[in-house]
Amino acid sequence: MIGYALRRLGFGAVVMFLVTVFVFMIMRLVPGDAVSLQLQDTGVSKAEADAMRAEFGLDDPVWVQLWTWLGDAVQGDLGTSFYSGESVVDLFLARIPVTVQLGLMAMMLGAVLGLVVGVVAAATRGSMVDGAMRLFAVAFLSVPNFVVALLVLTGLAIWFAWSPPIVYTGPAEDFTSWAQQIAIPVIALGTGGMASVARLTRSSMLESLGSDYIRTVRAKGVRERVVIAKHALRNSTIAVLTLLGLELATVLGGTVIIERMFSLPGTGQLIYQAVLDRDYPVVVACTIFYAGLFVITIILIDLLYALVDPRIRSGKALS
Amino acid sequence: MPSPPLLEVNDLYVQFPTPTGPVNAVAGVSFTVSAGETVAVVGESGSGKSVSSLALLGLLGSGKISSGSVLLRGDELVGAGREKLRRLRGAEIAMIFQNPMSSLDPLFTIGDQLIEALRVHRPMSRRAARARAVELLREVGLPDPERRVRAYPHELSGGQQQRVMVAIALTCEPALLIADEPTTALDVTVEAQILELLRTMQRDRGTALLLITHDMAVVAEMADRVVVMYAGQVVEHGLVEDVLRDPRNPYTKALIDSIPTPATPRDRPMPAIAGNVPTPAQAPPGCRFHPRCPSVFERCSVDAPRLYQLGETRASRCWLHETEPSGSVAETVEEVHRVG
Repeated sequence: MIGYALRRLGFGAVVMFLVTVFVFMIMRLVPGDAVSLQLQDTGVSKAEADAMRAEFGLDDPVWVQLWTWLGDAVQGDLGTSFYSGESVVDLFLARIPVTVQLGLMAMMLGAVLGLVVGVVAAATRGSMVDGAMRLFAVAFLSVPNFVVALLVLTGLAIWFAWSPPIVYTGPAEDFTSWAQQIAIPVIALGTGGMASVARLTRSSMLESLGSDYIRTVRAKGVRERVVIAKHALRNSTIAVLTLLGLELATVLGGTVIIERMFSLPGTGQLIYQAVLDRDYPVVVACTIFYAGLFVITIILIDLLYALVDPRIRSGKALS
Repeated sequence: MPSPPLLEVNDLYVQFPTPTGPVNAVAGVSFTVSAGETVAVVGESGSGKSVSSLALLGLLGSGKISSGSVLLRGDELVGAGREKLRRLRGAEIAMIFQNPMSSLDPLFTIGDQLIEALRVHRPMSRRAARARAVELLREVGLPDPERRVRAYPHELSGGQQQRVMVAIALTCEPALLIADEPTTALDVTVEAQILELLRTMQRDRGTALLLITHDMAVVAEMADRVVVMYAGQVVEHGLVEDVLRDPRNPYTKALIDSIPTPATPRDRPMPAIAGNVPTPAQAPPGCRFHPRCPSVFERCSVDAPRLYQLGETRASRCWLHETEPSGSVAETVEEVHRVG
């Protein structure tokens, strides 16, 4: 089990390294660098611009830049922003909590509600309740998160003349304001995940409920409630866990737009602005953060698989 | 009848919904099982033998008993509430299945699965249930039960898994054990062990056994009486010795003739019944076996034959009995043929 976890971690480190190199290269292939964007229409001479590039180290060959950056990075220095001149690490640490809160709550909302809806739909298969739940799931799956956000915002504004506060305050400073501000983004980000979790839960519950081992449990005289909540649900979790891992990518991607819409000072907004400005150090750091979050989640999910399924624990492949 | 029947199935119809309307997978099946006896239900795939047994316990997914009666010690099970059926399952009637490899929940230890079966019908502490689980595993001949009680299903072989299934089935000392092709998925040597286990269990506990199989050798080895099914109907039933030695129904005859023996010539095709069992939706008119029957004559394709009582313990569904001396005086089991 520990060996398994370590192997997963090692694998994660390789993925992180490759992502870093890839993003580093890609950013420098995009036309227009930070200097030319900054000095646009200022009439600054080419010599001065080149001097500025030299200052940022942008005139070195890409592989030299990469090597220097990696050397600094392993010492905990992710460089300084080309714009604000702030240390990227500091810039970052200030923004991580917002995104983590948002992402975590959206994931929780999606996972919990999705599971409940999926289980109820499977247990009442073919009924009106099942039909209604499936209809809503398809609807939520089809509507992009920012549209959900806009609809909720508009609806609240029209019917209740209410809109969330604009300036972000942390939960420690003013909890009510924070809750009001973050509720709609969480709902917008969570509903898509909820819909896919619900659909997958329903179908894997139905598959499980039709299986031989469930027939055995029923033949033992076990109550249907226990059949569903203990045996069928547990056997459906593997598929749902996999989906949750993938869902994280969607939610993280969603934070970029949603943070921008609701002016939440998270990493999503940071990366958005940094890409526009070609602020290489910030973009690279943001990407590494997102990739890291993703890699860690996948590892956690792999470990959860092993926790749920003894066949994975003992190294046997899934049947 | 030597003893009053434990289980009495009368004119059972089991219906499945299909896009083209409901079809009867089981059409008018009747049989009895007395306490302590072994009754084999035999037939090809698609004859409705498994469906009949699953229907008794309400374990069919989409299928429903549409008419007929199932009496357990005189108590009607058709139309009984779900809770009543649930209380009977495992306690009075237990079941083991064809695929032991997929019949145990892969995520729970076999100990947990036994404990669940023990505690669902009678109040029992977890500790007592665990001790009993180890005991049961020992009784079904699983080696090293103290350790195996903590094993997961995938850590056992198919034969061992089927032993666990038997142990689960025996937890509450049921009066009837339904074994649905219990050895079909197992090796021949393991098959012999499992059959021997079932026989021992039955002898020691007086459990009645309803054995669903397609294997005449298993029937010969295990059963007191045999019920032969074809396309959702009983075509012949009687004592095993009688039926195997002198099959009266052309289908039973063909089934027995298709068992290869050392004397079967190797240079000719294996004896087999040509064609397939019709699906319930396309059951032919008249006798359901007539398209494949070697003794077919005109009447067979027009009218459906009744089940003729041939002697006290014997019956067969065939028009041939109409002209036979014993057939002409026979009283019929079913008076009217019901339209499905």
